[in-house]
Parts: sequence; structure tokens; C-alpha cells
Amino acid sequence: MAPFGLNWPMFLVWIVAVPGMILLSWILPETKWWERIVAKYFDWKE
Amino acid sequence: MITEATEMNWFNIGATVLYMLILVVIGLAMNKKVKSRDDYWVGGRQIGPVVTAMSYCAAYYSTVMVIGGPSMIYRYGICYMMPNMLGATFTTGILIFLILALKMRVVAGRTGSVSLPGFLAVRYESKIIGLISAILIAILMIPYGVSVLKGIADGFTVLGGVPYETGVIVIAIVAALYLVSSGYWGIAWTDLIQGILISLGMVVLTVYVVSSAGGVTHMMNKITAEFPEKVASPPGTFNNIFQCLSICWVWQLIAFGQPQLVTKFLGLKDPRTIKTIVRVSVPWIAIFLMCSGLIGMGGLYFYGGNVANPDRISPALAFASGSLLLQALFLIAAVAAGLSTLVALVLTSSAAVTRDIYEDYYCSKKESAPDGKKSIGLSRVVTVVVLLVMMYLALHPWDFVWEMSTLAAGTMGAGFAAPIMVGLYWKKATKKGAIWAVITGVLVDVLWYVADLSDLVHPFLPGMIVSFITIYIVSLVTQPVSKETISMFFDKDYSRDTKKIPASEVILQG
Repeated sequence: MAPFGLNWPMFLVWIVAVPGMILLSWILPETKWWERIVAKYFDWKE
Repeated sequence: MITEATEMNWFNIGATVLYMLILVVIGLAMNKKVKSRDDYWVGGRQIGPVVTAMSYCAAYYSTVMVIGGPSMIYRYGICYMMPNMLGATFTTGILIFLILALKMRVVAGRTGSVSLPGFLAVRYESKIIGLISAILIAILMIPYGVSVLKGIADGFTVLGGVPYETGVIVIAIVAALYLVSSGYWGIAWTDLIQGILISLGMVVLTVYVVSSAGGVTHMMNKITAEFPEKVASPPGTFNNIFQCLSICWVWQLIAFGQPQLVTKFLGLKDPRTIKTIVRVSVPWIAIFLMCSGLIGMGGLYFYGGNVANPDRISPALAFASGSLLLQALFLIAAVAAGLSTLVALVLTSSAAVTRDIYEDYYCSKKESAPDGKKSIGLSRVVTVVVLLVMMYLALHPWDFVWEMSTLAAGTMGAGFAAPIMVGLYWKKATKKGAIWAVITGVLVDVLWYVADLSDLVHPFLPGMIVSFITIYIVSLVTQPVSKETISMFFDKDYSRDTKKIPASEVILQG
């Protein structure tokens, strides 16, 4: 049994869903990959 | 055993009335900002990122989610809660802004579009697709709005002891007051307060539920012992994994084709602030869904597995706390969630009639330029008429109003997701491809529902898939749009000073 009375798969999803997504929301828009996509359509740093 | 208010609770009613008065005052104060049609419909594209993020979240997470979210988790358990949290935070918190909102706002700045039908009409150089979309939106927003209105009035009944009819009428009047006076300006700023209060109400109720149950671990251990199927991994309580994921993720995918959400993106002041929107929305959505899940689990813990109407669980838990403050806060959260969605639906429906049917189609056909003041006046009249229709239907609700709202939202998602996304990212998408994508998406969604196949997967999913396939195939064999339009949508160096053409003035082919 994982913490909070959850089974392990669901506990891992919870850990990914909440802090993982918050982290992703900070990291993803800063990546070169993302800026390349954006830069195709308008000047991001204008 | 679920208990509810049996007589008028004056503390709850007083707190909610005070809250609604504040909303009306904000709406009236914002009235001076409405000087043009764009101000009324998209806040003159001057809305900042934090307000936009809250407005989006408050519009997306309506009473249906505040009341219905815990209800879904009560019914399906953890195998609904976890995939839903994962999908919602990623899809509606990150992906929708990075791949849809950003480009849509950039292009809308170039084309002058203030609504989804106007946007589609310019992208596909077709008045017909604008007209079809506007009619669909004007019609489908009605059952959606009715279900929201009904949800708020039900909350009033359970927590305030207010007669259902009184609740419906009061909410409709409040919505009309601030919507008519200041349009999207009023919506955006009231949504900021509503978004904060929704999360606050959910958090406070969750803290009460979890602490009363002796902590998350104790609560989950008891549920595991008594209802092991509710804590199983997917598909868990579902028939199969496809049904599980389609039900868990359907609302997230539907968001990509929701006109009332798209309007929020068009009102954003600076597209470069999209990062801020993502960083505000994701924690908000994650907290909201986590609270929603724990409240649903609290329902299982406190009331067992045989509650006849699970939609009553969250109001009943708030009522059971015995705390007037908690009850008032939850009631305000439910009202806030409902009102923010309701006004977004009404404004979108009103814009579809005024801007897309009257201005872009009727006036342009008569070759007469639409008058700005007349358009705002007409918008206000249409807003009141739409609210009156919703109020009448909410006062005489048919049995399947909740089903109708899900069907309406799903139908819009199925019809619009493909033309929007493909139009933004594929140069070869054509007018005929888009028109047929809307038609087939809507038809498949409705037919799937009528054929009673919803138990397999939600009707939205096959509708959306067919719509994407249709736009691809038809576009390959039909004439592409002009180079000018392609440049407007795909050219990095497109100069909006020299080439900006307002949507209503673009010479469109029928």
C-alpha cells in the first residue's frame, strides 16, 4: 500500500498530476523546442 | 443519510446576496470602459494574463463541475479521479494555451476577429461556415446555459432553503445586470473574484471533509475495505479502459472546441503573456480537481455507496458541517462557478447572433456598414432575450437537462475542434473541408447519442475523429484558400499595419 491509502499506480499518477504538472507549466514554455514552434508564427521576444 | 436545509437560511442567503451585489457593482463600474463593439465582446483585447487565466478557469469549471465533479468520483472512484487530474492539468492547463490560445490570439490580432465564427469565416474565406457556426452556437448554448442555471438554483435550494424558482430568477437578473452593462469587461473582472472564491470554497470544504474523516489515509483505508472497486486502477468501475479514458478525458478534449473559452483567448492583451496564464491556470486546476476528488471520496466515507442522487453530496457535506461560514462559502463558490460560466455562454450566444449573423452576414449581404452603437445596443437586447429564454426553460426544466448540456458541449467540441486546430496549423485546409468537418462532426456526435452508443464511448469522440478525417480528405481534393489568407495565418513577417483587415470587411466568398 502506498501513502494516503492509495495503491502504488494511483499514487504515482497523483504525484505526477499535481506537482509534476505544476513543474511542467514552468519548464515547458521556456524550452527551446517551444520557442522554435512559437517563433515560426510571430516574434516571441519582440 | 443526506440532510439538507428545510427552511430559509438567512445567513447563507445574506452572504450570497452581498456577494452578488459586489458583482453587479463591478459590472456597472466597468461600464465606462465599453466604448466600442470590441470592448463589449473581447474587452478591447486589453485583458491581462492573470484575469484571463481566472476567467478561463471560472468559465470552464462551472457548477456542473463543483457539484458534478465529486459526484463522478463518488460513482467511479479513483480510476476516474486520477486520469482526470492528469489529463485536465496537462490538456486544459498547458496544452490548450500553448498550442491553441497563443496562435489564435496572434492571428485574431491580425484579422480583427472577436468570435469563433468570425475567426473561421476569415480563415476559410467563407461566410457560410461563419453562419453555420453562429447558428449552432446560438442554439447549443441554450441547453448548456439552462443546466448551469438549474445547477445554481439547486445549490440555493439545498444550502439556503430558497425556493428553486426564486433562485433561477435572481441569478438571471444578476447576470443580466452586469453582463448588459459591461459585456466582457465585466465578465473578466468579476471572474477574477469568482475564480478565487471557487477555489477557496472547494479548499475549505475539502479541509473539513478530510479532517472530519480523520485524514486522507484513514478515509482511503476505510473506502478500500468497504468499496475495493472504487480504489482499483483503471478501468476499475468502468467496462473497459477505452470507456474509462473517454469519460475521464472527454471534457478536456471538448475544451478545444468551446466557443465561450476561445473568446477568452481573443481578449488577451499581449500574446507573450501566455506563460503567465499557464502558470496561474495549472495550479488552480490541480487544486480544484484534487479537492473535487477528496470531496467525492468523503461522500463514500460518510454516506456509503447507496446515495440515490450523488449530485447532492457536496452541498450535503457542506450542510452537515453545521458551520454557517463554510456553508455560505461553498454556496458562494457554487454560485460563482455557475455565474461565470452562464455569463460566458450568454455573451458568446449574443455575439453569435449580433456579430456573426447580423453584422457579418445580414449587413454584409445588404451591403450596409454595421453601426457600432446600434450593434452594442442589439447585443444588449439579444443578451437579455437569451437570458429570458434560459430562465423560462430553467423554470420548466425537462428531465434530461443535464444530458442535454453534455450533449450540447460535446456537439460543439466535435464540430469545431477540427476546423480550429487544422485551420491554425495546416495551410492546405480548405473552405469545403471545414464546412464538411463541422457538419460531419455534429451529425456523428448526435447520431451516436441517438443510437444509444454512449456506453461504449462518449459521442464527442467519434464525432471529433470523423471531423478530423473529413477535413483532411476533403481539403486534399478541393481548392485552397488565397495566399493573402495563408500569409495572415502563417507568415511570421505578416505586417498588421499594412494588411490588417477587420473580419467584417473581408470580401468573403459565399
